[in-house]
Amino acid sequence: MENLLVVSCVSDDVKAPLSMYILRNYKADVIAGVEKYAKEFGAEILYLLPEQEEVDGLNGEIRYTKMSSPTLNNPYAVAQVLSGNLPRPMIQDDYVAIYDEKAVSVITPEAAYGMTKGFDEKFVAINSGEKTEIKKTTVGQSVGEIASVDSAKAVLLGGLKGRFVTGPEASKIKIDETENFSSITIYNEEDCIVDACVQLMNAAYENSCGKCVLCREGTSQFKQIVTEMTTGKAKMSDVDLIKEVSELITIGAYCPFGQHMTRPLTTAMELFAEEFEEHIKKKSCKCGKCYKQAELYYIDPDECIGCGECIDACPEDAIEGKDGFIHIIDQDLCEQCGKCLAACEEGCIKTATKLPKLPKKKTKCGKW
Amino acid sequence: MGKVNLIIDGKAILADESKTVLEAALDNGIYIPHLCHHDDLHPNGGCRLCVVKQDGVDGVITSCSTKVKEGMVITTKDETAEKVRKLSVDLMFKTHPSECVGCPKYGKCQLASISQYVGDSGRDLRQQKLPLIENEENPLMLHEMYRCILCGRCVRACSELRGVGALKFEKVDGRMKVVINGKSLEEAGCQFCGACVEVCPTGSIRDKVGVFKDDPGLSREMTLVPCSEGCPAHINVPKYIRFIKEGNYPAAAATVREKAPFPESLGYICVHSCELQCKRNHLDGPLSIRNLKRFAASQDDGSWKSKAFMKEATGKKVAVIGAGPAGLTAGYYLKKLGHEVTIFEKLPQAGGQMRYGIPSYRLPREVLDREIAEIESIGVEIKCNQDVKSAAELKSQGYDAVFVSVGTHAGNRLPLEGNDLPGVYLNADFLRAINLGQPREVGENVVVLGGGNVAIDCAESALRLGAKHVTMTCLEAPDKMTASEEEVTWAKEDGIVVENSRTFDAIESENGKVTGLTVTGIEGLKFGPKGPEFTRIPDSTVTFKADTIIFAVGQHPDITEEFGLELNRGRILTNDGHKTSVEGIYAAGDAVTGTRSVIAAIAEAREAVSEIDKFLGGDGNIEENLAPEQFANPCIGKNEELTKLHRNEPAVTEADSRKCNFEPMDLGFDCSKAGCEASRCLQCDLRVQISPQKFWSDFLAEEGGQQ
Amino acid sequence: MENLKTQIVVIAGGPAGMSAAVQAAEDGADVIVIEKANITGGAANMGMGPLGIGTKYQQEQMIDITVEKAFNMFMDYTHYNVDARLIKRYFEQSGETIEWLEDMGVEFEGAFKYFPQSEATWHIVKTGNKIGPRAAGHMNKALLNKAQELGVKVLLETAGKKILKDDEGKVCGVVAVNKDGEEFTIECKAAIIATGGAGNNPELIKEEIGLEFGKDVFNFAIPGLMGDGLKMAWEAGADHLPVRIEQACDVGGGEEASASVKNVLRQPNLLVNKFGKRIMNEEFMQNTTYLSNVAMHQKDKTIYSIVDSSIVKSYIKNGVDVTSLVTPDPDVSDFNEGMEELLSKGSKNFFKADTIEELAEQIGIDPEVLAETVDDYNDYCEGRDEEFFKNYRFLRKLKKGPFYAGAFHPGGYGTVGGIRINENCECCDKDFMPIPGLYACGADSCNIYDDSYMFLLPGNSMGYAVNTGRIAGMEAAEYIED
Repeated sequence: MENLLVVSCVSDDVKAPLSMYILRNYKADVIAGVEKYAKEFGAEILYLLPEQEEVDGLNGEIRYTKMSSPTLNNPYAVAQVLSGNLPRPMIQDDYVAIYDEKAVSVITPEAAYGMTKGFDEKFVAINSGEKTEIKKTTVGQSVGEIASVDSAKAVLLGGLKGRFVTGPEASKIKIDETENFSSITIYNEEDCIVDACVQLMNAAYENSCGKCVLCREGTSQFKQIVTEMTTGKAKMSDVDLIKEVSELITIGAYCPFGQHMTRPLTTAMELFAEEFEEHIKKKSCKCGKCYKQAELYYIDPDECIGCGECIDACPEDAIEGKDGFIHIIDQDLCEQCGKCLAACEEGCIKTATKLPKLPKKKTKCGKW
Repeated sequence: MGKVNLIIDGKAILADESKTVLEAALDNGIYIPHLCHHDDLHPNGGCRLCVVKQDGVDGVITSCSTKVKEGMVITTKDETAEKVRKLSVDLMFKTHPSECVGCPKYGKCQLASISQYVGDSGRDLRQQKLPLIENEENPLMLHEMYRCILCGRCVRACSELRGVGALKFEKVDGRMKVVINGKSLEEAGCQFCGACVEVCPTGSIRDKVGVFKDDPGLSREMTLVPCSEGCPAHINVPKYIRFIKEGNYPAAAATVREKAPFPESLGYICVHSCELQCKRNHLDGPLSIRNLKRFAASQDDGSWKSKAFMKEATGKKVAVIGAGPAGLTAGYYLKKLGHEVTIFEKLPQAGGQMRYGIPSYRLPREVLDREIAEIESIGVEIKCNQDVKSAAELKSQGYDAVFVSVGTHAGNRLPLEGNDLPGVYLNADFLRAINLGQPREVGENVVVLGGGNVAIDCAESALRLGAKHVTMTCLEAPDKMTASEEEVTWAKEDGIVVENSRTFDAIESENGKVTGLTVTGIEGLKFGPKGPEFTRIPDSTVTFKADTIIFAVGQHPDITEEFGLELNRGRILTNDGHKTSVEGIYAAGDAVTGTRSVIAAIAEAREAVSEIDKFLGGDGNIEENLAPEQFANPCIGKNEELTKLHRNEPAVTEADSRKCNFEPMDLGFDCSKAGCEASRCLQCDLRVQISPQKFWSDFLAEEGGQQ
Repeated sequence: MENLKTQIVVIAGGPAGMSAAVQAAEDGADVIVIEKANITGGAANMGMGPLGIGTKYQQEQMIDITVEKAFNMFMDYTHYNVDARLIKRYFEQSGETIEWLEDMGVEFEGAFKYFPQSEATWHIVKTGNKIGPRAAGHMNKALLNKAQELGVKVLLETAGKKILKDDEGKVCGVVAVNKDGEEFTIECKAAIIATGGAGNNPELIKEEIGLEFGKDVFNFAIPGLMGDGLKMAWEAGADHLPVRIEQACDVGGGEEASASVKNVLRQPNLLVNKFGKRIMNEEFMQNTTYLSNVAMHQKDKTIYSIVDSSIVKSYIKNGVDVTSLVTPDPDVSDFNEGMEELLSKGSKNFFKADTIEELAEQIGIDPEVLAETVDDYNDYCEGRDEEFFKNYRFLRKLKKGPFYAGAFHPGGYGTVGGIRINENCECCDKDFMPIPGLYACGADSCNIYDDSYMFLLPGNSMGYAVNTGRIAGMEAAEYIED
């Protein structure tokens, strides 16, 4: 059975788009690394590039794919993509992935670069705000040296599989000493951590290949629960639920991505427990990102003269009342469109985040 | 292959190294829950139910994806592994309908069974149900994908087992789904083999109601191969059609011979109830199985004879009364079982209805003679012109057992006034006369009463004897006639007029000569316990001109009480095991059941023979493997042609040149047409190869319950 | 398949059958269970727990329900039209049965009510840390494990066909069919029938009860309940008592509707019949037996629950008014999607219209009458419900289109009753004489509810199944000794 070496240039971490960066900027080293590795077991070479990328002068056939998945360093997943299916990894004792009668093995540009230049150089992507910058660092260098993290509210080391640490703690960590990560994402004071977790969980849900129940359904559940934390539907018991379930997913999931995709959320919950509690219990967000203050409309019972102008203005006919009676807005029907406020000549329709005491039953004006 | 020692749940196990931990456990009756794993598919590892604890490895290992290694110590009931299983079942039920009530798969569903074994934990996770939409596009299978738990068994079965790949995974607005691989079913290339239905654990893909019989009394194989089940003799139809497709015609003929000694005759005149059951009825049209059988039988080179069993003489003597299909079959097998057989036949030649009922244009005589000669060639003695008056008396002449198969050679005469006038004939007598060479003469206008195959034989024969206008009239509506469809079409092509839904009032006659038949239209026909019930349509009485009238409304055995057997409304009374009222005398075929079919008579004769053999001290086993082993390749591959090939019709001599003589008219298939028709087969027997789904109670049962 | 021999054959492995098998085995008998499906548990796989009276859970939760109180409540409810000795024995044993189950590893969440007016007799099986559907599946698993531990042989995918009696009229065997359709006989001294009624057999329902499946009654029939046991018992001489539907009202006339749609329409708002008239105090809609009885006495056996968009919006915002342990989730946020999906499929049981008159036309009710009923109802919402005295908490005005309606029909989990039994669960013939060796338990023999299921003591049908199973098991084990 012939061998096929696929250079998978679809980076497996949305927060660390290293593969194409290294391929384009250090092409010679990568090609050399790939040659060296391919010679070891006489394999044909094939490059798998993201759809819109153009790179010439590569020593092998080029194939394009619009798939991006954390599983694309697994031979079976690559074989599936090459034959037009969704990537699904196979972690099976002595299992050989086959693609047009050739045994598939996979290498990434990072690994190929390491084959030629040795493994003490490490590329790291630094994301802060919208900007992503890729730096070449050496193993053992501390995070603080390559990124200004000291004043950060939180730092995510490693993308969807990474963990949250505080700024000062991050700056002391040495690269690739105890743990390896290829991206540093910086969050500062005005970033809401809960909202950050919502984005991370949405990305994890999209990236999940859908093969294993714990990761596929786990990401879907976490995405919904964390989003509910920002809409006031979640309960405090959800925090323990997520902790308990993540622990089991980390043990039981099928592939490394599945096992670690829960870490960003669980570490964020530990570090920023009170921020989560504020979102769930008080249903408010001090960064103003979630719970955009819902302005509630009400009619001031002392000023209403019962003229009925507002009733006709309301498209949802959420206002009740007769001539000479104090009018009442039904909060269930009110869509906060504000038309009634404009229609009231007396100016007695007001807004507030919390409703004052209002009459329940029909009461005559002035009798309140 | 090296052997490996390991311990699972404290039990020492020896397994060869190619096995995974899950296989090793299951082989030794230790149950580990598994859902996405299926014995015939490559391991998947997605459902996480088969996780177990291995000493020295933290966390859990996936037992379906980890090979056994020397010295492994596995604990399946480990606390963490159980928790992971519970979470996985829990998560699966969040997207699956929570109410099992009313689900057609209940009682056969893997998810329910495993959720009972593992027990879900009722966590506060969110319900994420799918909208309740069914997809009816596939004519044979119903897709209710809101029950799907994405285990991927169907996708793997379709691509790996069958090499078709009509199903695939796709993210539909962010959510993983199993969808048809292409814009339409044709493009996806579905071969309707049912493998996906067989492996689906939750009933998301199911056979549509009515495709298969839902009868608990049927075995799995009989349920899934409707044509073999439909055939009274249960001939292995898919096997011989596959031999024809491979061009191995003798093997095909041998397969038919395993269950019926008249393959070529059946090829001409069998009622082919197998075609009514063929799954392809739900697509474009059933396989033309009868014609395939005929073609194969015509290419028979007798290679099967070397494999036929022949037991040495048992010294027992058996008499058979009646050399029709039942009698000849019984004689043939009794001889093979080593008994000495003598068949007594009242008429000048053997064949029964095949010779004296069915006209020669339907069944050429040299085919019949050749197949009867085959039976005589193994030493079955047939004595013709022997009118046996009493079975009991015959038995006393030194026979250890008697088999009665006298058939139904007497026509039923309806109690119409004038029913014994000279121009009025009975179906049995009329056809027998032709086949004895002295046909009765027929007038210009002939009216045949009755709507079955025998009625058509009478009408067509009358035409061939020179009748100008032939009319058939019967109680049944067009779609309810018992005659086979193609025979009715051929009759109409030959100019025979068929008057449906009529009841017969009287035979008109002038001074002793038949002139016509008066009938009245009817509707709402029902066959109640006391015979047909219907309502007469007012003023729809009419008279058909007729010089000759032929009764073809059924036949009964030509025997009376003195024959020595208890009768029930003219037919021989038998209880289970084909035993008649007299010990040692057995009976089968039309004489017991009333006119049915040649294949039914053969099937019953075989049952009776094994009863007789047991009665005579034998083991009653007449099964034999005449055909070579066949490798039915499960990987059928993509074949766009399959749905485009429509049913092939046999070559038939056109109406004018066939209706004036008794020459064979149905010329059957040539080898290219046979090959093309055979390739239309959906190969339903491939699905029986797939190992049936097992449930945890099956394993535990082996351990504790069901020995 | 070769024939087998044992002392007791239990026909069907649901809660009743398995309880009988375990009890008989505990009392020293050899038992074979034959079960048609490929898992045991029968209808209980979808239930949540049996009834129990005088249990430690009730003491902990300070619930004063004694056997005496329950017994008298039951007899009043059924106006003494049932076998008091059997009821007394069942209720007395029900407390101890909960412990019996606990000894074999079943854990219970506690004792619960089903709806506010019922008693807390429902012992829901613990599934983990929250009450969830299919809880009783754990009980079935424990019963099966215990049975196999005691050496009971469980033959799956094997259906019972016929009871054999010797010439003295004593049971001597059972004819069964295995999964390959082969018939075989099991020689035995006693047979216990527990096949769970005929909930999925439209012909038998039509014949016995005169209700047309899919027209008058919509049964969420549990596949496999075909009344095999009933026929076997009657054939063996047991007296043929009336078979009845265990009433539980059904929403949507057999159409698959999403949970939110059903949940909203089950809330106690406005309920009218085909003449557009209100028919009950909707507060008691939660008792689906009462609701089914009400539907039975209306034209075409159909009643309609009507809500408007303001009610729907408030339910979506703050969850529904009344939840039960079967539908615990108050969240109905996907009501609109669920409704659109039904209407796009051309539903005949769910309606949406901008005005009450239009809604009436769609349903086939006289528009004026319905409009008048709605106006009266809205007036009551402002003050007091003079018509049916409904609690003001559930008086919500129908004021804003579009309006939604859903059809309710009588329905049921399955049938109950048919075989006459005495307090020892022995099958009895026409003149009340027991047939030696023939026992029946569970739904087949459950004639104790007269015409309406006793929902005020919830967990009753599973409680009856498990307890009569035990009684049949004890009695059969004793009978085969002498």
